[in-house]
Amino acid sequence: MAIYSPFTAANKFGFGIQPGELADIEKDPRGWLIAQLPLANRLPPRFSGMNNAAQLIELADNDYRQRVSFQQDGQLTTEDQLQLRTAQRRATSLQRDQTNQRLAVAIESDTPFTERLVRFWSNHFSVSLANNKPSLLYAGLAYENEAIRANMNGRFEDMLLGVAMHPVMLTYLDNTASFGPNSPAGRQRNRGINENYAREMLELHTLGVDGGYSQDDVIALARMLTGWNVNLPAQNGSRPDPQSPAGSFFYYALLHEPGAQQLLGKTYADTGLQQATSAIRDLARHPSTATFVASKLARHFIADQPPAAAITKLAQVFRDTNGDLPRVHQALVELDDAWDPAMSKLKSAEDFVVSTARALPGIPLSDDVLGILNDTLGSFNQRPFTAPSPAGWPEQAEHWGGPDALMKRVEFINMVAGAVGPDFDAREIVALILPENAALQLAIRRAESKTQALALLLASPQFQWRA
Amino acid sequence: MSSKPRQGINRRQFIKAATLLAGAGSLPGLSWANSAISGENKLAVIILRGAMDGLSAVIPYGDSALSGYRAALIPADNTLLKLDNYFALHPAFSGLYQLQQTGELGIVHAVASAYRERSHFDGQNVLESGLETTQSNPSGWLNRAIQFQSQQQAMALGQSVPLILRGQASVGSWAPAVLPAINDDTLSRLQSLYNNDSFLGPRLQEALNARDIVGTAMGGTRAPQGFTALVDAAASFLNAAGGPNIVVLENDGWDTHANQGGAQGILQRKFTELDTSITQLKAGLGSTWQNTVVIVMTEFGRTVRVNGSQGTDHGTASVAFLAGGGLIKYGSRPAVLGPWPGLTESSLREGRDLQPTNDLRSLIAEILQSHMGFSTSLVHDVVFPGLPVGGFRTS
Repeated sequence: MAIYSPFTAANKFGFGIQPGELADIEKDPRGWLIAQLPLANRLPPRFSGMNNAAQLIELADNDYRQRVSFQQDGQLTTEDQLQLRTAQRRATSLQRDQTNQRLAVAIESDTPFTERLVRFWSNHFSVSLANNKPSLLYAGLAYENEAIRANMNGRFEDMLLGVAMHPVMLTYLDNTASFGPNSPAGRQRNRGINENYAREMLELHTLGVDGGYSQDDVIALARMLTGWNVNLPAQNGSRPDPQSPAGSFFYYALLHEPGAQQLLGKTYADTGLQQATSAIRDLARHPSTATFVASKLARHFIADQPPAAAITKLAQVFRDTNGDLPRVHQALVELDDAWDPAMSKLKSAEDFVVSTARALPGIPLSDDVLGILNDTLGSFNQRPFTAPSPAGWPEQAEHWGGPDALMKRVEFINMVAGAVGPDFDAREIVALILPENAALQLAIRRAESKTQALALLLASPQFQWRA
Repeated sequence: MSSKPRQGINRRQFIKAATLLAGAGSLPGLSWANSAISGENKLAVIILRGAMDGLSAVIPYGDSALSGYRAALIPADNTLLKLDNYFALHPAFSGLYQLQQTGELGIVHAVASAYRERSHFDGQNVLESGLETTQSNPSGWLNRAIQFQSQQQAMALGQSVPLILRGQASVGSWAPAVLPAINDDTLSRLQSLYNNDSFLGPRLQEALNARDIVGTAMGGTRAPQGFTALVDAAASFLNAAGGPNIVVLENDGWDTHANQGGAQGILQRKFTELDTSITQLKAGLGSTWQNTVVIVMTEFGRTVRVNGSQGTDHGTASVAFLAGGGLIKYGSRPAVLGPWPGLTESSLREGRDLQPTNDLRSLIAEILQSHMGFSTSLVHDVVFPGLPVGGFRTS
């Protein structure tokens, strides 16, 4: 029988406890987590009023085209230069605002478990916007809210489809550049398929690399996905569907590869858009997907090497409920292993920064403060939507806890404690945010100043782990 | 620098007038010529966090009981910087010793705040609030001292404003733009915590090794710690026309529980740093030094006996230093002020600590009145409410 520690509830399933939260959580730590689940698809007020992905893609795309045309023109008028600078300033301020708001949402969240879950799934369906996809520059957060957050209370297949129909993913993994070789457009322009998205959907989003698919399956899925595109103009042209919004999902029949396809032994007749939709729903229900997703959830929330029984249990719930996400998320909370203090995870850089801010209530989340925290994430190489590969941010402690990374954490905390040390009494805070630890409490009590005590608390190994 | 407008002009003017009218006290037994009462007079407060071992700083070598408690901590007799036939400065204080020769140094021994327990936090709260309570959010005595005086402007040199300067008066703060250096003491305490972590411990150790190597490659020593930069900045601010006339600096790393050393060692290096920074402050201030008094104070002292790890534990009374050309006006005086409680077993507080014979606030009160020109009522009703007037004992 597990002990349901409020610290585990907040630190392992959330972003770290806020000193004032303990009394509320300890009444029923599991219940506190489960009660958050229905709120998982709620859009945090900080995000309301933001532009949607289609608008942001159109904006970035226009900015990009303008820049290219200016570059081709060579000579720029004063007005041209002004336009370029305006676009540049808009890019900077849009990106800063989004990263700041996203950080603030985590820091002040009163449903930290679901916020963690949103980020888990966002990382499962990772998009990295730093490289060579200029139209995506502003759209990371909108993607997360539209494809991930909005589907948090549905089934896995809803989210998988939401992602597959989202212009950000289709652009990021090159499906927009994939042509059915026998489609009208493919034949006319002598273009063929791009396998990138189909492969990652099988390898990273559903079955897993050992999930039992072959290269033929990759090609079949890629063919079925041809035509899943974004409503943006080709070079110097008008957009394919002038009736629907620029930057939104668009099924481009002229690109779709005609004919039936065989995926994992099943034949899918060519029903246009429906062909890949059916295939995607089947992928979501494949037993390998249940196991793969279960293992990722367990690795993210329980331990780098989670017990096999935990994965089996999660996979079973996933299969039994047809991938009902709230039920799967609840099953995670109901696993004894998740509450075992011996099962610990090293905080990612983002979780470390967020939990630091949460431990220090009353710090104003001004643009300046959030900017400093975001710069810190930059120095830790974990700015949002810049994961090193489509596989997302790594899970392993080895990745987050290298010597240099640790030293950077200590330096960051030294700065934080230097700035706010006199405002906080680490002797009181430690008991409210971490389980009893005699060595740590003694070190804090013996610290030679409030500033040093706060530094010892937040730079301590106990604060780097979630257990 | 913060520029929050001050409030209550009329009240401020009233109190300012009252301050000017009230007779300022003087250091008992010492002559004092009243200099200009305004922001012309400069005050620098240096807080030594961690509890400085006063018995190592100003060594009562004439007290026959001393060596029985802490022979290992006392430098060789012929290296001591003797002030009289009883007290000597630690050899690291060559700069302070020179200041002493010219009347620019004051030493008060066996002095303590009102705090009698042994927690750094609470001790520093009391030291900085100037109140006898350890409640968590009081204002600081130096802020209360200036809250109604527009000519008095204070600045904290550091990333944050310490309690001593917190309160209704707006004060500035300044720190270099670079990331603050981590002090060695904090790192070594962190290392102890990490030693028990089989995954993170070795990784932190590797990082520290790399840091040492880089430090060595870049010129033989670690990158300079931040205090030097803060002292230089303090001098610049005090010299600046229209700048603050009061600055507060914090220096940590004084909690010498283990291997504190005697002639050489951890504490000697802290003494050298303090000595150098005061010399540096004098040089940086130039002629402003003549209007300046520096108060160096710590939250409490350390045990008279050396402990089991060649260090000292939390005690009670310690030493306060005064420095500055602003001390010359007080004329000749004993090198070390304050009655000496003695070190015989029965003289020790609770059988372990140097017994306080002066309240640190009484010393500060004298400086605020005689050097800064603050009124007795301001100092004894507002800055240190309830502190008896004239409580400082020179001998």
